[in-house]
Amino acid sequence: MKRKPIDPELLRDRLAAEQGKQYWRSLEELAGDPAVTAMLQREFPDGASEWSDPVSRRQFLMLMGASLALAGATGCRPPTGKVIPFVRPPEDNRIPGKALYYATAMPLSGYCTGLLVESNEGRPTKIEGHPDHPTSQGGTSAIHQAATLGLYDPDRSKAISYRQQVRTWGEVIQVLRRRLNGTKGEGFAFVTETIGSPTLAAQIEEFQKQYPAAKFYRHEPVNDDNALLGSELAFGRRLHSYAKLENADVIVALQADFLAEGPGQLVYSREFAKRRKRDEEGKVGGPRGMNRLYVIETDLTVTGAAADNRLALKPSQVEAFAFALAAELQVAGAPAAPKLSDDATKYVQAIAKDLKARKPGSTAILVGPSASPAVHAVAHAINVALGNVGQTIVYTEPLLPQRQLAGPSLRAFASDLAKGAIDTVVFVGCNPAYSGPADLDLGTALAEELKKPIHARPSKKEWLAVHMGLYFDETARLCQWHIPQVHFLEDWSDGVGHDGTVRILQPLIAPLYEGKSFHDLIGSLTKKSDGDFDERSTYEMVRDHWKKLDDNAWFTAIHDGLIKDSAPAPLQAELVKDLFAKEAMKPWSGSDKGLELLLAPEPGVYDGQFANNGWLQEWPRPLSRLTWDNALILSPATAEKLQVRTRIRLLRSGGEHGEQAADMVKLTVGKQSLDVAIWIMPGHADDAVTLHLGYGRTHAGKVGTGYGFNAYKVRNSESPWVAAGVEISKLNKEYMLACVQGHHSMEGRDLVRSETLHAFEHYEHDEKLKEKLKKKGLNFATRHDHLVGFEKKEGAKRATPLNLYEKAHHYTGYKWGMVVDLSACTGCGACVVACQAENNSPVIGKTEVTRGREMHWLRIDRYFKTGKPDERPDDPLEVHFQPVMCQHCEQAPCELVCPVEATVHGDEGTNDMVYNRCVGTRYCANNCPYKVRRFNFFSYADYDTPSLKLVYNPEVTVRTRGVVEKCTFCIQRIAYARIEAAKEAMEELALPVKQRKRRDSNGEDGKPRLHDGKEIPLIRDGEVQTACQTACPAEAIVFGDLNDKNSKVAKLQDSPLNYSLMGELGTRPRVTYLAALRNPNPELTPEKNHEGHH
Amino acid sequence: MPQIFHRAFNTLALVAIYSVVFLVAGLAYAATVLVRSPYVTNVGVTREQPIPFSHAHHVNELGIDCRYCHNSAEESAHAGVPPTKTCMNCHSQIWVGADMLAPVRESYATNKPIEWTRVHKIGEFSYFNHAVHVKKGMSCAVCHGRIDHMHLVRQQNTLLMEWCLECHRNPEKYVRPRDQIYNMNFQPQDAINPETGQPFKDQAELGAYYVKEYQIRTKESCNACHR
Repeated sequence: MKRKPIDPELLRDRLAAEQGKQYWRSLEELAGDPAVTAMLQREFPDGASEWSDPVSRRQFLMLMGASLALAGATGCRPPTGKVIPFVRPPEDNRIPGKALYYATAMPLSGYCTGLLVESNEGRPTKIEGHPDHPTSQGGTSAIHQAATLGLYDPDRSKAISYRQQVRTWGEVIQVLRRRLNGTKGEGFAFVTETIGSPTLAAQIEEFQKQYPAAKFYRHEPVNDDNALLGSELAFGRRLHSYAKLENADVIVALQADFLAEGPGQLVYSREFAKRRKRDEEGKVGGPRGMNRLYVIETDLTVTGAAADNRLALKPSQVEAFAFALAAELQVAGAPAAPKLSDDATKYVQAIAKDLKARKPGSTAILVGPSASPAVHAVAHAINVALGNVGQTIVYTEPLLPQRQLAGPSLRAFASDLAKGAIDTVVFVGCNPAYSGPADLDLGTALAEELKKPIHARPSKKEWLAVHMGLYFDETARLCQWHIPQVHFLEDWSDGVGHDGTVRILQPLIAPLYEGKSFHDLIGSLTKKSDGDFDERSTYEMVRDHWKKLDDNAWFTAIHDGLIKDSAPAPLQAELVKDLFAKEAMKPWSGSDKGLELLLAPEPGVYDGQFANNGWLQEWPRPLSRLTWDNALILSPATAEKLQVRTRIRLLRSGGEHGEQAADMVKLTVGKQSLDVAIWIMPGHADDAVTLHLGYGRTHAGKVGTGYGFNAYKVRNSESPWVAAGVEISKLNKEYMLACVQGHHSMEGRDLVRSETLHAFEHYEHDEKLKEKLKKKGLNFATRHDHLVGFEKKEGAKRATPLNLYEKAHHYTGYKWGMVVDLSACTGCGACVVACQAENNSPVIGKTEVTRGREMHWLRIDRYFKTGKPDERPDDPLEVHFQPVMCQHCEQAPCELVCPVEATVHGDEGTNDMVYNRCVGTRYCANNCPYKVRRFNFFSYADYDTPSLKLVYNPEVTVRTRGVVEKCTFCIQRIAYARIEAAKEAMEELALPVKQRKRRDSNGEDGKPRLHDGKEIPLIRDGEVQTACQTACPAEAIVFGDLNDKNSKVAKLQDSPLNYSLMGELGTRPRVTYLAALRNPNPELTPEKNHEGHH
Repeated sequence: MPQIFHRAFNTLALVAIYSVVFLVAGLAYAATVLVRSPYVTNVGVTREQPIPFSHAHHVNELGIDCRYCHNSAEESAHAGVPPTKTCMNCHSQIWVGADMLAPVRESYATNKPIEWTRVHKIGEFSYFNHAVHVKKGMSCAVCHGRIDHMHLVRQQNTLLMEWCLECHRNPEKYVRPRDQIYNMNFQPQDAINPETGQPFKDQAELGAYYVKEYQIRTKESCNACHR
């Protein structure tokens, strides 16, 4: 059955008619197509409960046969295992069964983020943020969380090879040394990833002293070239800048996804969120009040979704906007404002007025890496004019030891290669054959060099290409030699964070394969003063580089993961005179006619280096909700203009939630073209398209090869981020995309709630209204609830939820609960991968995702709130995210329907799954109003691949086929804390009562609480932190004991913003949400009547 | 029409019907007996080990404390099986040439661990924590039996869930003073009741006292063990 595409007319009519439903998740849902609605109502889609895939069925029968045969062989006696102890106990006093945490850092595009890595019996299993690191502050991103899977990836290259024959380290080093022997390094080139390690930089310097003619090129597809060039324009020299957002009352982001991209994203998210949340004194945003975020961008990003006022403009208009803002603010020398649309002019004026009204130094203008240098310079000029330097924007000397710009450097490499000036090249940690811009066509160039006979080469030397990388990738295939590179969790190194603080990277595990680091490689080619090659261990290299630290300071640095106070001092930057008179100071002109193209790093696979990471592939992207693919993103209006569409495929055999048939188009940028599937994104700027880098890999590994479209094929080295005059022609083809936005629909009830700060402040001052609502048991967030499922008994003061049971259970001991602050949640999705890593959730693959079978215990629902229904139905003024995990209902509908009592209630109020009882009826999932239960349709867990066994958390069962699973509130972490508290309490028995630190005081008269008549030891607030909570960079998730009066979570549940998801059902969820507050500029978003329907 | 069945079939049918009922009941009973039988639970099965290490000798005769080898029992979920180094602490001094100890010396020399055969294994999906049980006054002997009388270790108890629950429902039957946990010969009468100053009469009195003293809240929720 073919579905009609979405009819824009239908959308408009619907929105004009509808009053109540303001939040919608997808265009199909908004249009209210009855077939789609019917589909969404099914817990599991049509195809999910059928075996429509013949291969899986056959495979299943085969496996079944094998397991039956095995069953016969072993009878019912449990097999005997081996116990294998150490020979000598390890020196770190490791206690078997207790996890240890080590500080290290993850480098990405040159910058490091501090991490704490959990090690179970010597294998790293879980990544946490490092609370003491200025760049992490305890948060992580999805990419950090997935690093452990990257480490154990079975597709990593495992041996040094020459033309795919296994060789040794000695051989490859011998070959390279012979090349260098007796030369000054002529014709010898390194092409490296961005080098952020000070030790490595010093080693390279030493190498260059010996071989001054050897060349170093830098290849980094996602780089900060434009930012550095912009500072050069503005200040006459290249400077690094970072923001301190806790001081910023107004933030203007121009094409800057600062909450989800770049080295400072975690700390920015944290500081930004601090100014959005209601603090303990009840003040929103802390003592300085709530901040306001304006976002002017092309593609809808995480930052754009968090904006109070957002304007979608095509890239050239964003640039013009920056200049117009400078003009409106009367920045010295700024030229008259360029021509803008009326909407944009309104924004410029309103934003400028807002900025001018603020105290000097309390605003911040942020610009993203894809904006032109001129726009960066304009932002610097505005920041200087507004007095932000040193307050919200900090300038330092460039942090990366490698000073050359990535783009020009790769261009230089391409031209040197073409000239024949290079005869030996070593690629380190980069993949230019895949991720080089199309106009340089390095893949072809390298393939030709490989074929070229010696006499055709100017140097008359044989071509030698060596590749060092984690994978045998596209570039490795075009080199004779390949050396497996160590993963960052396998070796020593150092690096710098977003503010320049030096981190020490320590290994968590010895290299799994024959991995070598660039430290090893460059050392083995460099002669020491005594004439021998430098073959120190990487530990010695890093230690010797930091010899100014004494042993004490050094071990402190390793323990802490950073060298304290090593960040460079902030600079007082002086703007150059006549900045705006400079030739380069004009916005990128773009094109009046035709479309503009914006390229951006992919949220999951980044520049393509994480393409083989299943966790990141299957991670629904924050905005598009796509998995496993990228697509050409465009606005509904542009799609209408181009006559392209996507449609949900509804087939009887496998009418799946997630199977979206998207039209294919031919994207032509100058001479390059690419066939690509489209994806319609409400909120995207019109007359522009966005494509994410990192997909379309041809040799990524078993997981990542063959998905998506290679954006590098339309990338130009001169203008790497934007292109004008892009042409799109429709192809008569469709492509299947796996999108999860239609999965697990909760029927459009009042699920996500948002209010303006203005309305909230009005309520806060209205004592009468507060009192009135309090009597009804309502608060600000629930004030419009009609109390379905509640009853008001005669004479009773307030309505109580209807109850199936005679009496609601009274929890006397620990009472676990969670609050998710929707004001803080940016939808970045780190929690989703964190949950997957902590709880051993499987990866199921694209086909299974299209069947609605994804196994994430925690999903993030994305909602659009329509702004101007009369003009543009698809133009959402607001985007909201809502993380939904098992709500741990006190009266859980799932528990009642399980025929085998596999899901039962714990004594502390958790809703537990007992896997060994589950027979897979899925009644529970069917009866769950929150759609949080997941079923193992097949044996998704990998029990066989040796390296993947190491990634599992030993504290959590690996589930097999046929059982239902769901969020457990990280019950293993609760159990750990409970046991540790009990143990400590026993040690304190001999102490006088007052000195007992584990004595609880939340019972009657400050005595310990009694549970089953016994005292419970105190689990301090914060001792149980769920995986999603620790991962969250915005601290939006708070978990704790609701019976502990002083716990954060108990206080937050008293907040006037607190509401339960579908509380009217009377399920009494233990997870509650704080309604999102937004602080829009009233000039741009007219305030509605305070008590109007929200 | 002649009768198809002979009269005797009346009786036969009755016998058949009843025997099916008894057969089914009998099979069900047999199944419950089977899962509790040593054939399935491995109770009392002595395993062959690479070195015939005798707990009876080391504990009972030499008086080595449990924690000398199982040193993480008070700290971790796992009691810990000692590294070869622990054996060599003594056996580099005594019985240095004994044939029986050759695998120990070999392990120490070659750095290859000794592969012991596992004796105790609780069911899948369940997570047992030694530390909290030990700290709360559960003796090793409660689960592992009189290990000081075993030459080669064998499993004393079924390790079935009903066996776990028996103690979780009646902890007072098993609890001991914390300083007597590693005392294999402990009897309730050996301890003095701090309230009365007299020795405890029996386990009932001792149990009641220590369940209160240690505030033992044995969990019966599934999540206590299943994650």
